[in-house]
Amino acid sequence: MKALMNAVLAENVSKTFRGKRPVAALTDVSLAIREGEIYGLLGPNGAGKTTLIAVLIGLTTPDRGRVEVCGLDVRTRLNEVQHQVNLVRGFSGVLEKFTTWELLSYYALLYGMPRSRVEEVMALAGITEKRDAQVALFSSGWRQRFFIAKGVINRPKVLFMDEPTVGLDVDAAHAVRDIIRELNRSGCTILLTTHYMREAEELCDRIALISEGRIVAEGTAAQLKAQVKSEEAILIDGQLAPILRDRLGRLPGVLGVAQGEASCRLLVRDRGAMDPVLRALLEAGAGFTGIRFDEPTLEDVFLLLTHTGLELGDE
Amino acid sequence: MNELALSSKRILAHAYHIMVSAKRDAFRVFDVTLWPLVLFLSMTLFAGAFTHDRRVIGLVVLGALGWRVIYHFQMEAVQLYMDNYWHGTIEHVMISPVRWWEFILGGAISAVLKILVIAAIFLSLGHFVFGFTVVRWGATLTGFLACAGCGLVLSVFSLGVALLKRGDAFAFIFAFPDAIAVLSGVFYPVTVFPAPVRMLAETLPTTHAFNLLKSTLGMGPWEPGRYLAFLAAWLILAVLFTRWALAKARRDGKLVKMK
Repeated sequence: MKALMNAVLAENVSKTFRGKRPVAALTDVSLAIREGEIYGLLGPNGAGKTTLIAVLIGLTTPDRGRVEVCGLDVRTRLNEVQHQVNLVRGFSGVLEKFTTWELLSYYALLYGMPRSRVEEVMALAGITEKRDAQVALFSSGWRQRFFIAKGVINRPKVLFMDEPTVGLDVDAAHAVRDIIRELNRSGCTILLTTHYMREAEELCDRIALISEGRIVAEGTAAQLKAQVKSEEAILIDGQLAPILRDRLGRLPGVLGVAQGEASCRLLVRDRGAMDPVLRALLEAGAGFTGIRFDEPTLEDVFLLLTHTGLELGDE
Repeated sequence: MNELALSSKRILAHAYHIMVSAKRDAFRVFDVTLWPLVLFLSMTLFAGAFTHDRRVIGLVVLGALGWRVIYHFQMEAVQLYMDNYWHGTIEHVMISPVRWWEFILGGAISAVLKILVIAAIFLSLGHFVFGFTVVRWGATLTGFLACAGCGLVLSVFSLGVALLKRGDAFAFIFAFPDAIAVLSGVFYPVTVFPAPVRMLAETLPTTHAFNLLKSTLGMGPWEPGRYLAFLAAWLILAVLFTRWALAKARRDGKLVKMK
């Protein structure tokens, strides 16, 4: 039974980046992540996921709103917050020429942790055998394990994980997800951003969908999918030209269109939409290899709420 | 562990970072060998070709070493920040409880270690090749400490510039201590400058730090009070600027390179 205290609380957080063309990165974002929870943040590139993390951990100051982590106000008690949190990122670089042990020792010192903690986190992430190898030369899978070791070096109460499995092969991603579950079982609250729907469904207790800097829906995967249970999805195998996708999107009964890597997904009001869709595809001479109805997914929820695709991976 | 002990560990972390980088990077080793030697030999040989006055040779030896003191105390902390920035790892440092002035003090530790190496090279070469010997050790060390103080102040200011301009700041930061040293009369009195430049030079703590070194050779005034007054004024300005730059970087979302 998980506790109900908030590990992270954001209230009406807004952030606009000024410049020649101001960008509203976050607009009135509110969320509450309970202690011990894995909370997923799902959205396309540029939706505001990374900015939200930067605001929650105090790297970026919001224009408006309030953020608390572990009951501490991030604006006024940042130093205390920083002892309680850490970050794992899928897009991070690494310092060249440092071995695993040297780099983890550096991060351990930043948190005042003893060197023995370095051995512990290397064992936890399964990288003890890479102790004296240069991190910059690691494959992406090993590198991500390194970042997980770094992310838990200070025994954080809240771990922010920004796309931790991006670019990993299936086995490496699976190993990283196992470590995430293990960390959560040991009591660590996790905020996870991901491109992968299946990963979000598999790992997260609750999920927030974010689009254009706004949280458009929040709940368990089942609750979110219940929002589209009266709708249907049509899956077309193949890449459709943007002009054809626009045309499909304007057909009666079609609620949204999203092109993935290998297939195009249409959210439709009911099964009656299949005929006009098929007719439009044939008239346009579209190169597709199959077409079928599909179970509603989180992407359909996203389509329904924003009328834009998530452009998510298929993992 | 109390905050002072934690802060000390973070300062040590920064020094550790710089020393590991230096150990593995030939370019950084040149920082304490080749580049200072080029400066030292070019200036001492030039001076030695025209005069046998030991005081002039001493002026070059002490000036060159003071210049390197300023350079390293200024550069180490900023290099630490920029290193992390360029490698895309700065967010992992800035999410920790690190404070900006811990970069400065961590950099200072590595600066001391590097300066010990350079001082050994300069003073031994100065002695064995050019016959120069430090006579007033106490006053000379005071002069070098004064240069270190200037380097630290420039380091605070440069960190602020790095926080504001990030990758674009490095050319400025690299040129900054050298320009300041030239403007401060490193091997000559600032009276060689036209009046407006001289007035500017007089406001620089580096000018008064070099004067302390020159005074050990009887070639400049011994005015520690003036040095401290200008150093304090510059320190206050530098701290205010860097605190503002840090807040602005957070506000603009440019403290780290997260995309």
